[in-house]
Amino acid sequence: MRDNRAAADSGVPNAEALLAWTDAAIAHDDVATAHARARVVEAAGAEAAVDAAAIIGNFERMTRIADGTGIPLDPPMNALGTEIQHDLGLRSFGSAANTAEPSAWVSAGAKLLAPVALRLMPLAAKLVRWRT
Amino acid sequence: MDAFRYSDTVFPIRDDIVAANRTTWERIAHAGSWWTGAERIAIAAETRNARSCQLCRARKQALSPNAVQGEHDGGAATVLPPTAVDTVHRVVTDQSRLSREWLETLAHAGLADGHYVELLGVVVAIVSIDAFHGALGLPPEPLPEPVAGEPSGYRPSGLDANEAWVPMLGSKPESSAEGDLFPPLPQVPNVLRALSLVPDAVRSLNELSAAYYLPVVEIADPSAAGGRAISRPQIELIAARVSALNECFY
Repeated sequence: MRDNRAAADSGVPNAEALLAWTDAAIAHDDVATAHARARVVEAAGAEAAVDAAAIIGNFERMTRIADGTGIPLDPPMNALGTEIQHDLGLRSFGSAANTAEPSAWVSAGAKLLAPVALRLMPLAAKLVRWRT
Repeated sequence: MDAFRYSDTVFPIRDDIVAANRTTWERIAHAGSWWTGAERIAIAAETRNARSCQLCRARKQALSPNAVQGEHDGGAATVLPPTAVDTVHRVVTDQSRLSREWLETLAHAGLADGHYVELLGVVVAIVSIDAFHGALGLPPEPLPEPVAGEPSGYRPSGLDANEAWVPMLGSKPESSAEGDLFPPLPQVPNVLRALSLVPDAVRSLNELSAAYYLPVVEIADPSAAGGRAISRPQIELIAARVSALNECFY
């Protein structure tokens, strides 16, 4: 997420090109954005570029909603994400102050339950979709 | 509506994106709960001014945003009060340093919580659509003409003021008037409830998110990719990068 080389090694197709484009677009660097966009179009096609640009636009919005309202991270995600928060240094972000760190007991319990939770999430999502 | 025709681009812009953008433009042009259409368009215009604002650039470099004082570029010609102009610029250019204490100063300066949440809803819609255009090398869409009308002053019942800096509705709103806002989840994610002091801001968010990202009911399913031309891992990679660049913990 914060390391281009790691992203490129992640196995996500065209990760490096997508991240270079994202970086340039967020920096409002028109020249770099055009160059990076051309790489993505060449590698993945124009439809993929449209969908990727939409994701950039979406999260430019969501981050400002979260940081502009001071919402805490939802408790289940906070408990399940303790390790990754520390691994990626996310607690250094100013907006981390809006979310209390879960207790050691909660983190340990979440770690035990994580495999089950990850299996249940798609099922729960399908149930919600069915209900709507 | 004639906006968002995309006739001069080589990119195949999806119909649902066009529809969501047009609906957003219509909503912004009309009076909301707390601002008139003209004021909402002024908020949108100020959102665009913020990108090239010299004061914002200087503040961004400063150890504290409060260390640099001055006037924002573009702010002089607006119908908005100075506090609103400053708020728009901060949300656009320095959102990771917003704080509860700062928000409390807005209330003392006359920008009440409803005004703030509605302003935030307009700002983030413009930021989002402009970022989409910018990434694709498309010019910003001209802002719509405001529609005459007065704000409704509508404030939903059942707000909880203790979870975030602003009051929010719970996962199951008390009034059926807000029954359409959230999916039927036991616990609705906070980011979906964040703007619920102004219900139309949530409706706008839901419409844009469904087209730009995924429909709300698909988000929790890691296998869902909404039929997009990029995979879910690619979607989440970009999402995580944007969040990291914005230093957003959520």
